[in-house]
Amino acid sequence: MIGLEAERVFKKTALFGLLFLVGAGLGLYAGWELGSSFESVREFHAFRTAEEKAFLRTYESMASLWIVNMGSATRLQDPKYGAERRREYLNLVLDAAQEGRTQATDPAALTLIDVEAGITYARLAMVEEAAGNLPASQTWMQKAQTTLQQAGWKDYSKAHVREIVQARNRIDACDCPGKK
Amino acid sequence: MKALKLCGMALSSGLLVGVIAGSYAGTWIDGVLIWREMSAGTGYAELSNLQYDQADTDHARQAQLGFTQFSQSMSKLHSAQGDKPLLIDTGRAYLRLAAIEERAGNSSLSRQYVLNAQQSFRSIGRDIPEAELDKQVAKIVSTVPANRPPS
Repeated sequence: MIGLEAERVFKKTALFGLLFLVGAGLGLYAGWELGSSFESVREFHAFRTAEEKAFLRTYESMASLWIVNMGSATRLQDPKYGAERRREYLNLVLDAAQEGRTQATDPAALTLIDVEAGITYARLAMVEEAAGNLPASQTWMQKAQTTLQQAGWKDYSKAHVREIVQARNRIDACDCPGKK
Repeated sequence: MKALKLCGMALSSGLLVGVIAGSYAGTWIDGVLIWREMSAGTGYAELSNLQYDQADTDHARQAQLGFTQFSQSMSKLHSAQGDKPLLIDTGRAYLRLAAIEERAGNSSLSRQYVLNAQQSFRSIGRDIPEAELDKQVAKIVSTVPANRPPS
């Protein structure tokens, strides 16, 4: 008798718990949508005209490019990663730059995206050089020099580009003075 | 009937708890928006400064001007409201523009950029006298970026 009563209570509790969880799941999804939509509206409500929307595309491109760039530069500092992995990270930056070129309309931003691509070509050249692939290294470096020359660089010599890229590797990976 | 009531109560209380928790979690996206804002601002500033150091005058001017306009548009983003470093970067970009125009002999435009820089610094509570900013422009003018000719 007690066993049957206990089983009945258990079944009821389980059903209650299950329905509570279903409700909580649905509520969580609806609440998340509501909360994040509110934040997005609050963030972008001031951008309505075509010009402002064009700015947003440039803004998103620049944000994505920089996030990928910092992520890659940080990983490139780690000596345990081999050439293949380094190539993959750097290709992600090139993909982001390519995406940025199709999104951004501001000529100044487009030139800056090219500069980032130029630096990435030089990084790829250095990866290939370290891996002993000299022809590939030369091809990438030539591409870097051409891109940076078109972006208005006064000195686009191989030695100078290398020097700048090495300095940028430290900056992009946040390898700043005082960092432990 | 009693069972139906119980089921409704379970579902609605779960829904209520879920909506409250979800709405709160949804505001975490604010952190993502701030991260993107910082990345876009820093990326643009870093690359335009690199252009100022490495490129010819026209490209250096284009990059600095581009950054000041970009930063102005960014100030309309809610996530940029507390980004004081962005305003410092903007002020410094105006000082570089002032130096570029000073070198080019466009004194009135250079003056305008100094005033823009002053306004940018003022918006974060730093009231820097014009004479002090003029000194900083003169210092930038005298520091010609060291570039070798292409070899």
